[in-house]
Amino acid sequence: MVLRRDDWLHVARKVDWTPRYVDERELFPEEISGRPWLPREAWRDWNEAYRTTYREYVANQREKDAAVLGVRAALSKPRLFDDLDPGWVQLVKFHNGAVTLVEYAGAVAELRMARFGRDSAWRMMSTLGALDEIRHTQIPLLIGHDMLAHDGNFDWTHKAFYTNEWVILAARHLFDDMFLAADAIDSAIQLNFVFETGFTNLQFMAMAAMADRAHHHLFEKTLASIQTDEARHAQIGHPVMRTLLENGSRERAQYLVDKMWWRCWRLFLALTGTAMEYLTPLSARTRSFKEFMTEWVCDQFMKNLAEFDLEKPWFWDLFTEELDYAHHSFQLGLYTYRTTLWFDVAMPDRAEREWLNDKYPCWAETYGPLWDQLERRWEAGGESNTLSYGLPGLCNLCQLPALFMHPGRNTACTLEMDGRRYLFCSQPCRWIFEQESARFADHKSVVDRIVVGEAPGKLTDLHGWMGLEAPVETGKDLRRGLNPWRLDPIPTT
Amino acid sequence: MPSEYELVSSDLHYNHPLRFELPEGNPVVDWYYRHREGSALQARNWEQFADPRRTTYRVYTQLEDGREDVVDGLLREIDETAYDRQLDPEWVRFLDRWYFPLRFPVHGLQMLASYIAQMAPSSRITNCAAFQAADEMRRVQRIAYRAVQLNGPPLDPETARRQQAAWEDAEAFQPLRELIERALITYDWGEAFAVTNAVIKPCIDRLINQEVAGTLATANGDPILTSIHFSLHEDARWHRAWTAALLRHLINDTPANAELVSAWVSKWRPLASQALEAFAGVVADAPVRLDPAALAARISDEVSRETEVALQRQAGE
Repeated sequence: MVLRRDDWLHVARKVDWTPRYVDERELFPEEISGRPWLPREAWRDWNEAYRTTYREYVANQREKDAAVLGVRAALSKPRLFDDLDPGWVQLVKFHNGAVTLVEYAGAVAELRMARFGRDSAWRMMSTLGALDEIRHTQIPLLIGHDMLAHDGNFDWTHKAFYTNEWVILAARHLFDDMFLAADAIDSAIQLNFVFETGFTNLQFMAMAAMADRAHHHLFEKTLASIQTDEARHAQIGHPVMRTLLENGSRERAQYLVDKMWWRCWRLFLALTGTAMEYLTPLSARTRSFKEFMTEWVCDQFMKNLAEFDLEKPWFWDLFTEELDYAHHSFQLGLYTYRTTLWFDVAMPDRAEREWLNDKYPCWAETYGPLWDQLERRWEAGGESNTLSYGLPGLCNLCQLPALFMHPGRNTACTLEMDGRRYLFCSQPCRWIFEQESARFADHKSVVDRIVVGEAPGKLTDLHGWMGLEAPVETGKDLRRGLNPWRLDPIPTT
Repeated sequence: MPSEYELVSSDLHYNHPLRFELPEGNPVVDWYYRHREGSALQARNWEQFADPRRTTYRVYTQLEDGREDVVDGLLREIDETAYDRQLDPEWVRFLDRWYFPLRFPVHGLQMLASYIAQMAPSSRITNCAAFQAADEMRRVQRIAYRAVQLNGPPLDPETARRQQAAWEDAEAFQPLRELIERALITYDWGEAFAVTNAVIKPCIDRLINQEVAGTLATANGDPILTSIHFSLHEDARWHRAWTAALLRHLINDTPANAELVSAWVSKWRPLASQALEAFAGVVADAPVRLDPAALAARISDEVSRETEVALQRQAGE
């Protein structure tokens, strides 16, 4: 009789033993295993909800890879861009640069849990999680490489995280905090429980639905396939959360959840919000970013909070308010600072503005005049007249420009500490900074570096410092403004 | 034009060297700077190391799915031929005492590989070690499956406890347990790599896969266990192959690495020899016995020769 998984897997999952020759605290040092440092007994009931064996893993994953890479093989390379909207191509470039190497950092985080997770079942799950993240690095690298022939900036798929480009630097700061420079327990809560359970649905499933409508089947297959892996290893977070709560760490757990929710929101509005509503062709849009956030992210998050009797983060009202504005404001920043990006940025055209106003009833009133003004400035003084040249105020926590609210509603705030003045885009960013000031205080934003002379102040030199070779690599207006006569082919390397 | 392996495996640790975005003073950042950047094992160019098998994720799942098919077939054969009823009860007792407890130390090897993988300064090394960790997980699961297949299902909790107790208390296991526990707290990544892949595994993989579950199993009327471990040993052979390739690269890149790795090997060899000899002793406990001293000496010799070759600078490279 062939054994069923449940007949034997527990024997392979639970293989901890009591160390005799070394102290358990040396074997699982608090600095990397995490706090609270609980006795082994406390972790004994660590159980994931859905179990997978190694045997099932390699069989399933082999098939999944064959399905994705089969689509790639079926597309002859010259046809990779066929039928793709130019905005969509920029979205893919943005996504690839911001996501690909983070997945590899995710593999390192999973490997850390595979060694320093406090229960063997956790370590087993994380071993497979590490393999998943290697996969999520390798497929986009292949696809990004295929796209190089058409657009040289796709080398940012690999290169982005090696640069000091400001969006990437913000992402590095976030992902260091979330998992790359975090211990095993914090990683499980921040990466698996908050980020993967809550947000990756949006980046992978919602985006996959759009990719399908944008006729980018390879991207769709890749994203959807990646999300099935994420859903499996995201489970790691739940039993870690349960153990923390059962052992008197409710306050810490609540803090990690609040912090990471806010930080992920900042990333997703910047990356996904803008991409969904300013780079995705209208025909591919279904729901708005706000609708996706509400239905796909907030609902799931609320269920997770309820499951553990955790509280809604204290800044929820601000978050809800920002859903209507933050990514629209941020898009203006991306647009006017586009030469500091590795992808092109769009000014919404007439039809898009109607769509935006339909989805966000305050949009036309709030943002319409600002885009009109940029249009007029282009007419009057050419493209250079639509660019910002001043230094933006960058938040010392999220590293993004402090401009998430609409005109007339400024949420920026400051903090004086040890003779240094810190700027924050919002109260939640300041609050996070204050909770762990030793973790963040010595960090310098790009603007701080310019001010102290560590980075050049002159824009042309700053491009080089950010790894952008101007004018070939630097971001442009997607349509070269809104007048058809400006529509030259997009230069590529 | 780079190969698919090169494209998807090269230069992926954007935080190395000294490039975490969060500042020093953060415990995990300091951990990496201390144990990775601060390791005595350094190379001018890490990226010139290449996995001799050029393993990508796609290649890995394909390869292992094929190997697991073979093992599935073997396990089915056990069921279909009432194989277990024909095993000598004394051999079954041996397995219970000395083979099934191996899921614990093999999990230790899985943890060691995970550590090497997360600390390695090059993604090509990380990938090798991550796949190695998964291979050890595979071995843990096949040992566990066989434990339940032979004794259950379900495996009664008392049997499971007895097997764990054997690992924790039996004298023959204690030097191996000490070796693995001490290796697990060796946090300098270079030394962790050397002790795991150049000292422990070459001895213990041979002893488990080729001898206890190999020659000895066949001699005791359990050839299917030998076949299962033949498949598991294919993984171990690759672990040795990439280790040899990495050592060769490290020494050609920086000749002083030869003495450094030699010193680590010498430091760990006495404990590894004790572990080998003590655990090899169990082969005298089987109904059909092997000579433990000869076995330990043979493995020791093979490993010494292999290490010596690996640590020589290759002329002309």
